[in-house]
Amino acid sequence: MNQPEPVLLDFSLLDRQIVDSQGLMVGNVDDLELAVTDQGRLQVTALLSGQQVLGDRLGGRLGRWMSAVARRLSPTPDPQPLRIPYDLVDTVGSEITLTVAKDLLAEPPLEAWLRKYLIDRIPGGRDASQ
Amino acid sequence: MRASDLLGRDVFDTAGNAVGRIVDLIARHDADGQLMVSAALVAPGRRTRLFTYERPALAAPWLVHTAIRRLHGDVNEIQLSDLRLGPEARELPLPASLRQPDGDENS
Repeated sequence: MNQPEPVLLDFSLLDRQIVDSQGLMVGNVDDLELAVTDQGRLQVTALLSGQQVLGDRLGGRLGRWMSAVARRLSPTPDPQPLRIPYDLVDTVGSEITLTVAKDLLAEPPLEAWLRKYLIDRIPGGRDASQ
Repeated sequence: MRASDLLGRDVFDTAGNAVGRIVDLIARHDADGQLMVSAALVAPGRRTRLFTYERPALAAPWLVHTAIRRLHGDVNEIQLSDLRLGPEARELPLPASLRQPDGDENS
């Protein structure tokens, strides 16, 4: 684990790219999940990634539009962001490296929608990852 | 709770006067390796992104220091337990143990 001490949440984490243990792009840090521990302390528990989260964070007309598009494209009425437990974070630098491979993480709803309705319909698109 | 719930929030002193906005949150690893938020960086004026040189006691070239000070004003590091996010302590969205910056457990 190689992380700065202290960690500035906005400067060091937000909007950074997330890559998995193989160096593959996972997404961006659009927000951070904080939880209150039993001792009343505030713990950073997860990285959140997704268009809906970014829209919520930006706020205003642009943020509402982004969230609305994310909801519209999501197969479920209440799309959940990609949630990466902070325990899986290995390195914090110009990018954030995880200790696990991307395959072990849940697929973001927007990516699932794009793959299902767009990429898979392109001739040869089902083999795009190969 | 999300970090964006705190970033950009107004901060008040004990008299209820606004002193600035939260521009960043400082977190440190505890003995178990968990990342705990310990303090907030509060700057007067509008919310813009920091360059990390704003942290108190952090040396910076004078030109950078002057430019950043003009942009952000004096940035203060305030411990989370001292943070007031409303004119009155009960307006804080933080947990109960953090809501009483005066140490008053009953208000």
